[in-house]
Amino acid sequence: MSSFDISIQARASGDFHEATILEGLAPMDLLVVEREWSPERSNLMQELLAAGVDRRKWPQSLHWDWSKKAPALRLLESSGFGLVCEKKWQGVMMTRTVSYSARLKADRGKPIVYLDFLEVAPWNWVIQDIHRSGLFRTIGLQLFWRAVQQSLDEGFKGRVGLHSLPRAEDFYRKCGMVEVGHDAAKQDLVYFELTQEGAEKFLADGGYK
Amino acid sequence: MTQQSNRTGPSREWLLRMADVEDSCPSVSVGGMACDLDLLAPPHSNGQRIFGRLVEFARRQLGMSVEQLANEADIELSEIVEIEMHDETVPRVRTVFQLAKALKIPEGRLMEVAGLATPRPEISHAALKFAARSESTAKLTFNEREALEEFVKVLVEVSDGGMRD
Amino acid sequence: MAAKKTMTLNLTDAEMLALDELSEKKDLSKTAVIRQALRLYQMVNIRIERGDKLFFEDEAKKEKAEVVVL
Repeated sequence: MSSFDISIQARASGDFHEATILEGLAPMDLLVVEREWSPERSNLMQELLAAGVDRRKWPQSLHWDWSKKAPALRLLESSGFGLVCEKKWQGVMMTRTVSYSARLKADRGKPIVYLDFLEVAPWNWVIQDIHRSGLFRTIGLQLFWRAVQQSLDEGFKGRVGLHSLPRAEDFYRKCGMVEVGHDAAKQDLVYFELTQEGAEKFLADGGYK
Repeated sequence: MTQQSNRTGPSREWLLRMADVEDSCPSVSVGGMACDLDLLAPPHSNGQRIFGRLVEFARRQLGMSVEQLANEADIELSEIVEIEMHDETVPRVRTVFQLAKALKIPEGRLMEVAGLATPRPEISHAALKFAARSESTAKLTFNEREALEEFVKVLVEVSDGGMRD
Repeated sequence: MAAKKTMTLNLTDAEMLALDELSEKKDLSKTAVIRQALRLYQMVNIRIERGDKLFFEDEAKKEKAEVVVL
């Protein structure tokens, strides 16, 4: 397992806390993540029910169970990343390097890091309907940054691809990804791609030399 | 061959700037694998499955066994098993009412999830597929830890049959 | 990055040529090409082991032909 020292921001204080991204998660790690996160998922679900929030407005990943994804980590092409802060899993990401390749014309067919999965711990979610302001932020950013770094490490020049959930599309757009289009093979989710140029700009903006 | 990556992550200044972007979006989640695992909302959802899963999860969250819930709610054990395990079960009104009390879920809401109150046009598949295989974070006994590790072994070794890439 | 071991690979001229071409086409180092090939081979084999089949599809004719991988 490799580790990367980073920091994430606490919402209430604005302070940055030391954190670590671990690369090379094993299936067991994902089960531990699920055990850590599921009580909070349950709490959120209860609160949403109690507040009578329309189910269409519930966080879409509320019901996702990470343990189902565990077997994927057996494959060489899959990588699991976990962000740890204050001894808890604050975010998890899974990527793949072989199953998908670039779709944009300029680099079509060239390998990319495909972002299979990215999720932030439920206690970090901002859910206005139940007055939840979330503990930490910048977790998604740090993990996405790491995915772009992985692409560099692999020799893929920073190319990244992903299918965004509808509510996250704006985020990936603003990270400089190109909106390729709705993908019928993925229930019409929009497929985004970060080109080599886009990656260079993204990383340069973040101070990477 | 491969480049050495910057191991310290992006600058704080960039993080602060981009954090507002991150915040302006309700979510940063991606959906590729969720789609493959059929976790996204399908066009039609089955109310009974949501109900069954919710009951199971709420029960486990409270640390109750099925037997304990049956006692607590004054419902037949077999009925709870039916509800949790079988998707076609239509619960009775009294059952839902009793479960709501025992599980500390607002009755009206549970009625709705059970499909007994005026159903909303769409019930989110998010609730439906709430798989909740794990227990709450009560400390694991040695036996429970063993059982978990056995389960992990099976999970990893036996069938990926349910997982499509 | 995880600890790595070194391996020496003896390739024929034809294999080296193929490796060079792939390296060029995919804009990858030769090592990265081999690595990708290994990952792909493993992934395909695991899926076939669990009962999936691998097909090529002729988009024009809409015909499928099974790719047999051992």
